[in-house]
Amino acid sequence: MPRPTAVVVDDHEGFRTLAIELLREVGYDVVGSCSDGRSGLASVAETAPDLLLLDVQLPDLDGFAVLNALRASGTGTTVVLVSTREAADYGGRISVSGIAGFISKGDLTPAALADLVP
Amino acid sequence: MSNVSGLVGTATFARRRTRRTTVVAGTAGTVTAVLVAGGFALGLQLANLHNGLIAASFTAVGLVVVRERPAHREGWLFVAVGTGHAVMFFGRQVGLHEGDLPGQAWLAWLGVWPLASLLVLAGVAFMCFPTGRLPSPGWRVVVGAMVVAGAGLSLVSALWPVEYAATGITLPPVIDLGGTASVQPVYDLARKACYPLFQLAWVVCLVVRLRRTRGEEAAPLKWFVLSVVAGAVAMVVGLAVLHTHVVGVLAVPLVAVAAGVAIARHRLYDIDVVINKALVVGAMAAAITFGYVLVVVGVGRLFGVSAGPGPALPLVATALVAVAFEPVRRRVQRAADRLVYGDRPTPYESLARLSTHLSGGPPDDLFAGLAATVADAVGAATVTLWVGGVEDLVAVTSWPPDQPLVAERRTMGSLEEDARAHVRPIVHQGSVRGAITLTKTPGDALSTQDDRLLADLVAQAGLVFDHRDLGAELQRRLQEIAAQAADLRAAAKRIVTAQYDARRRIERDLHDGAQQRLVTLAMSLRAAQDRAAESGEADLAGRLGRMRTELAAAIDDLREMARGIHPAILTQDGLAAALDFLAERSPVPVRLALDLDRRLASEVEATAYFVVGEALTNAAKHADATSVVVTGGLQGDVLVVEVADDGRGGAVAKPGSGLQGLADRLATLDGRLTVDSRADAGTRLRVEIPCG
Repeated sequence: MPRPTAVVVDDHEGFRTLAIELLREVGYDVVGSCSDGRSGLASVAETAPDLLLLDVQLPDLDGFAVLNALRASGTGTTVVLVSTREAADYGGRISVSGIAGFISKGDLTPAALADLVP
Repeated sequence: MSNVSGLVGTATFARRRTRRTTVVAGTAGTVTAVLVAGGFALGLQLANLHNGLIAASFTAVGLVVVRERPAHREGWLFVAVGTGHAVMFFGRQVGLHEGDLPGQAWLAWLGVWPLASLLVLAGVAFMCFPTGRLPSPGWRVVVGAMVVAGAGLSLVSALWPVEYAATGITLPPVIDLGGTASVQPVYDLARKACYPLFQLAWVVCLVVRLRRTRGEEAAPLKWFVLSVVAGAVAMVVGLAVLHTHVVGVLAVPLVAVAAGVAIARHRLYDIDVVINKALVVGAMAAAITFGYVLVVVGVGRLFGVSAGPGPALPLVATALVAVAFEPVRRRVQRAADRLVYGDRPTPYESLARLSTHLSGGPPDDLFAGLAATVADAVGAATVTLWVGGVEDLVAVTSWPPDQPLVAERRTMGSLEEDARAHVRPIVHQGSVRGAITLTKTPGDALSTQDDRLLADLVAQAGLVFDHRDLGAELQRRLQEIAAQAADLRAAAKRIVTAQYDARRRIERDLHDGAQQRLVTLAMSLRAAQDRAAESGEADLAGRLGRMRTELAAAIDDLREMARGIHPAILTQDGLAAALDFLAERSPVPVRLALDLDRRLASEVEATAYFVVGEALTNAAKHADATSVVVTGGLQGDVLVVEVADDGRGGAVAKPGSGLQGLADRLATLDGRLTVDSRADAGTRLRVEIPCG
């Protein structure tokens, strides 16, 4: 059985490295690692991953804009938003974004990820 | 030294001349008054009435002129005519008196022989009106001939026997040279020829002067001619209808009256004020006398009440006169003003009007007011007001108002080239600030008095310019201050906006930098902890776990601090979402009702957010509130947010307090913070911020 695939989009390289380790740890084959929204969208379009670990604050498009673009393209990728901020800092936008979930980066653990993406 | 003595000499001479003038004029006036009064005391003689009236009227007008202008010949000529007629009048009154009088025959003689000389004197007075000089040197020959003829006729008349048919007085010649009978035809012929010629001479002279005269002399002359024509008409009508010359000669005093009115109306010899007052006083004296007599005699007769000795009627009359005095005086004064000044304002009124214009109104009105005042004061047909220096004058207003303004710039020289225009530079504090040009209707000239009034008004015009300059300067300063205030407000707004931007950057930097690194560090610690646990190093795993906990707490603190500096949600989602976030995190329950469907300027949102944040903090920390209601929305272009709690109240925006700082920030946005916080009645904060 092939391993599920994942793409990480975050502008912070150190976080991307740790996130990739964590995803591999929980069984994902990381097929893309991008530092901004546009390259992230391109990577998703190219690899059609099962999971997208998407940072909210990005240098070009923010995470919500990337989400909207994905919705428009009709992709079936599961999206988990991550941020150094908390969900409350984004008001009601998280709840209406249609994502699998939001994890504050400080709380990102294999267990927390497994809770959102069984 | 010689200059000083020269001045002293001039002053002494002037005093001597003044004293001599007073003595001569006083004597002439007294003699005339005594003779006329004495003559009338002897009874009323219709045939001699005109002489009395001529004496009184000419002497009175002459004395008024002499009083103001002692050096002017016309006044003295009138006094001489009047006094001479007084002598003749008295002599004739005596001659016509029925009954013996001491020295009657000699006095009657005085009533006859001066006639020829007085006709000449009166003629010369008319010929010299109003300047006191003949129209041209050529007329001296005519006057010389008249004087010789008049003196000759008077001399012969003085040697002639005097006869008063009415009283039968006859007087032998004073010096009987004999031969009267042989001279009689020549004398009769000379009289019949000379008397009309005397009249003809001055009438021709008057016509010549009238034709030649332009300007200042023309208008008073018209009055004079009018009176002469009236006299002539009276004479013709009298002779033709009533067959008597009495009506005609009775009209002669009209000439003196006309001269007086002409002098007054055209402000000749500067006696308008004197005549004005004389008219008022005379009319008031007549009115008082009339009123008194009317009450005492008229009412007394009507009701059969005797005027004396009881005090009732005189007292009533006095009271009535006293009550009526002021209203009558006002009317008389108005009538006198109209008579003396015509429809034009008095000099005082002109200056008063200008001062009224000066006391208010914008500068353009001042100029228009000045032009109108000048036009009224001197009876100008047009007035133009120019602003600028000698070489560059611009027309700013004109009168009448519908007259088009001269568009091109002019120099003072070019203005003065216009022969019809009277040009007066407006000089203020030593420099030319503008000019007034005026024209009068053809044939109407600027009199001396007009010129003086114009000079006074032009002097005041400098003040108008000053007033205008001050007004313009004040306006400029106000505009400067307003611009500075606007600059300051804009600068303050920029500072506040920059502050918010800086806070936003700090928050973002914290988020992107320190927070990001700390979070990554926490994740590394977690990974290390997991590995330590997997490799059985429980102690290390435990230590790494505690480090993670501390680090998580530090991250939380940092996140809170970043939020306090500038919440990300405010930047990303706007005021409504940010207030919602605040409300959720408030320790005191908050009911939020914000009706806001669009984003506002970042500084407006931030200010409103921090005000609400401060209010919620105060409600929780100091007011012991149990609930808070936050309402708000746009009212037109103004964002209005109210925060009301149910705490203990008593909050004030003290200097240095958080509220005061927020009020200051609001002020930079032209916003307003009102705090209603009575003790035990909760606190209600209201924020209004213009968003237009």
